[in-house]
Amino acid sequence: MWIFSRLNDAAARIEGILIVASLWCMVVSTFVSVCVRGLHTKLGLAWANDALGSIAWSEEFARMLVLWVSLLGASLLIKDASHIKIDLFSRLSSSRLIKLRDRILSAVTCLCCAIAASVSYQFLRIEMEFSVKMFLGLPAWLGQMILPLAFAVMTFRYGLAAVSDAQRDQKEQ
Amino acid sequence: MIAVASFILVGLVIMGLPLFAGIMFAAFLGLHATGIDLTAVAIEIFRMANAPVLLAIPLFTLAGYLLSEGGTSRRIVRFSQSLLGWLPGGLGVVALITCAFFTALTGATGITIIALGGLLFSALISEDYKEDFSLGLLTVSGSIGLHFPPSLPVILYCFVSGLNIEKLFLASLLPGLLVLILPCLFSLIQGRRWGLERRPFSWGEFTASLRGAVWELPIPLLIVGGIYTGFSTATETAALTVVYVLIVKIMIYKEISPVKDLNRIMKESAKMVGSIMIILGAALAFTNFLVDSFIPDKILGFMEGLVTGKMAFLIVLNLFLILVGCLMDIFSAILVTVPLIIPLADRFGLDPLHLGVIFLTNLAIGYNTPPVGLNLFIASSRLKRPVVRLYRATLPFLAILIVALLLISYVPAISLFLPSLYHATP
Repeated sequence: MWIFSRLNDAAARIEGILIVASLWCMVVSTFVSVCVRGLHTKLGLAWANDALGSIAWSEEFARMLVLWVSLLGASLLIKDASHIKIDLFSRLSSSRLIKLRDRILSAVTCLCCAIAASVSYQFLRIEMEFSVKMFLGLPAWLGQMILPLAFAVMTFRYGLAAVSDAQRDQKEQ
Repeated sequence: MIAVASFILVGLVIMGLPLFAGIMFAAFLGLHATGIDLTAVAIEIFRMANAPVLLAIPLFTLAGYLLSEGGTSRRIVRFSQSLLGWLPGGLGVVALITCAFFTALTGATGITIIALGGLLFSALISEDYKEDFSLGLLTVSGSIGLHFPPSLPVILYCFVSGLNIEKLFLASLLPGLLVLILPCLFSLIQGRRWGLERRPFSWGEFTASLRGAVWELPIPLLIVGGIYTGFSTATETAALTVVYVLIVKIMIYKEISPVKDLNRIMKESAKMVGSIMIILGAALAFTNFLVDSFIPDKILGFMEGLVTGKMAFLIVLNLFLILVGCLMDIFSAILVTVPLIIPLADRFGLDPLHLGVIFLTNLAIGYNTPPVGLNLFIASSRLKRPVVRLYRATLPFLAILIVALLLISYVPAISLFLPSLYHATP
């Protein structure tokens, strides 16, 4: 089991790096474009207008990063076992029953993420087949690949939680 | 078969299945039953990358998380206390205003109670406020302020309903003030009744506390100014706010280390964003199925037979939304129920902006409603009191908030007066 646990930690480290990089890119690209637009509209600087044209792709880029940050954050959240839920049961029942319930629910969520990963992969294949493009003429699948990847990692994490108490132990710590 | 699976799914959700999985499974089941390819779910989730409005959510969340680090809460409390501490029951007012400030910036995520609860609770007790009063006040304060910019629930509501963000923020302003002012009045009345000691106003303390918080106090004004002067859109204002808060926290107050703290805060804020947005993705797919299967029309047909007239509809709506608010967090509640409610409200002649304000107010109240309102549990864990005690302590404040809700529901002008003055595109 330790190898899965190590894999889980390694995935979390990579996700952490991607989140930080994505958030920085999001902040910087949006900040720069609002400043440049301000310079053009308020001060009438011609070069700002040219610069605005050359960074027009940044908005689409930032929007794509919203998807990346969201899915990476959602995946990382599984380690804390704190996804949003309606939890009436744990306030009413014994800890042994709760442990059993958590395993069943993790298995169900694992199945859901596995289906999501599979349909996301099919979606990606279709987009690749039709050579759909995004900003700067880049292939759209580069942005979309986060969908199957994140759901695959989530499948792995929920699968792990279904067969071990790693998640619960982490939460208790 | 599908009916049995749906029944099991509802059972699992009530038992604690992550909400995104419950909604996504429901979408899978529905699409499968109607013979639509399941890749529709992936396509709907990918739609999140095509909505400019959504960019504001990770940016404002990051700004909120940055602000909740370090001494911002302490400085804002000190300033409010120097300004209003001379009133009888003034500290209660201070607590409510400070929490509203924080809730608006952090978006009713429970951070307010976690960041401010301990500090304000000990301050209230040390000034001889009754314990039940203090507990109730701090519990409800976790959702007071969610009407004000840049509150995330308002942004999310606009995304789901297609309303103009600036207009809904404007419509929420007076109702938000009402929701804030009524508990403040209650605090003043109780303070007078209990003969609490007043702090004399001190210019020295006021200027010192103002100097202390001078970089943080203007943040709400910068946000409102940015959006309403047309200088920047809500999303652009969010980016400007992040940069401003980063400069203030790292370079001026030196409370956040760019090496030690920043990565951790960014990851925490991304988890928060992820928890909301994955439900949004699942809800988009589920809504797609609902619309394709004419479910909103069927509910509309059913309700038309059951409820006649706007007044009766408002009563049913309020009861339903309070129930939803006490079972779900505000973000999921918006994502799941708004697409169902909008056609109904339209049929009964409710203004979309008014509906938005009613929605937000109800969910804010639902957050504090026993037995399972989320704020009750957050406050119970932060203030280390049994949740049953909080049920009792919150009741007077709940009654006050329900008065505010009734006023907001039955006097539409409270919501619609300001937007009628603002000429923006719908």
